[in-house]
Amino acid sequence: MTKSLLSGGVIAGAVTGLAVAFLQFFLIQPLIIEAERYETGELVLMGVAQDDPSGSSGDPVLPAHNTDDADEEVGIVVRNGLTVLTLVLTWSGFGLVAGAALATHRALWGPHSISVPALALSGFAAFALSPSLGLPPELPGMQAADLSDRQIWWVMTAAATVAGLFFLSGVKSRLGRLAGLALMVAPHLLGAPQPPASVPVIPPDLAALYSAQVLGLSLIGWLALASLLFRLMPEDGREQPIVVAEAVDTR
Amino acid sequence: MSATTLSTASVQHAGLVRPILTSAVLGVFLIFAAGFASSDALHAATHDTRHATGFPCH
Repeated sequence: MTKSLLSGGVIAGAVTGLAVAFLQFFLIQPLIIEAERYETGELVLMGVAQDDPSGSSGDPVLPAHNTDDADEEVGIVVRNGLTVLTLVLTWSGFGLVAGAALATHRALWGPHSISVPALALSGFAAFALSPSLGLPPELPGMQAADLSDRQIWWVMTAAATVAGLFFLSGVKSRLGRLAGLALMVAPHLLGAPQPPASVPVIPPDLAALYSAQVLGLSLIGWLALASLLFRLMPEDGREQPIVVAEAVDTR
Repeated sequence: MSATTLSTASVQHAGLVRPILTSAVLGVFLIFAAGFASSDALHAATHDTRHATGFPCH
């Protein structure tokens, strides 16, 4: 059981991570690169953009980039390679956690107690939607509160959402469901750390498109991950006790 | 009959605790390493992933 649970989570997560990485390079990476041009001051919000003027003002930028084209290309390959690797690791982590949640749900409330969409939407709610309600996906250059405070709030919100969803989906009593709802709402009542007031550096339409695409890609990822997990961890309850019995016998 | 059913269920649950915990702990470790670790090298490697996944970054 340990082996099938671990391999199921890792394989489903790694495949999802590769698919997400593929989509990320078309959808999200160009927005990150553009935001970094604002962050470094190459482009200026509400000012004169230096990327495509009709006159000669664009020329001084190009030679500066051409001086180390080879280095830059190697840098881009390394950067993108690391992004693929870390996306695979991240989604493998999501796969292992989702696999553990799936196995727990089935053990506590029956082999057919949870469906693919329910698992996908739960993961999306816990690890993307709920944290982003307080801390919207941030582009490089965006103003933000202290990093540690944001990380603590993010982890607390994700954990509370996972716990709340377990109560809501499994516990039948009204009090239990109310407790689940309270757990999910509590971090938002507490409030996410807010950035200091400042002049924006990133265009708001770029930030809006980015937020929507990050959430959209996350939803696609969670739907794929849940579908793969259900394929790799079949809900046929008859198989599980046999595997468990073997695991117990060997000890 | 009911005692047999009960003991089978107990064995099943006892056998499930360890793999579920292992999977959850390993998963959380991977998510923390990729999304939250503060070392400069890890931050540089995971920069775009953190931004694209909605983890707090910078």
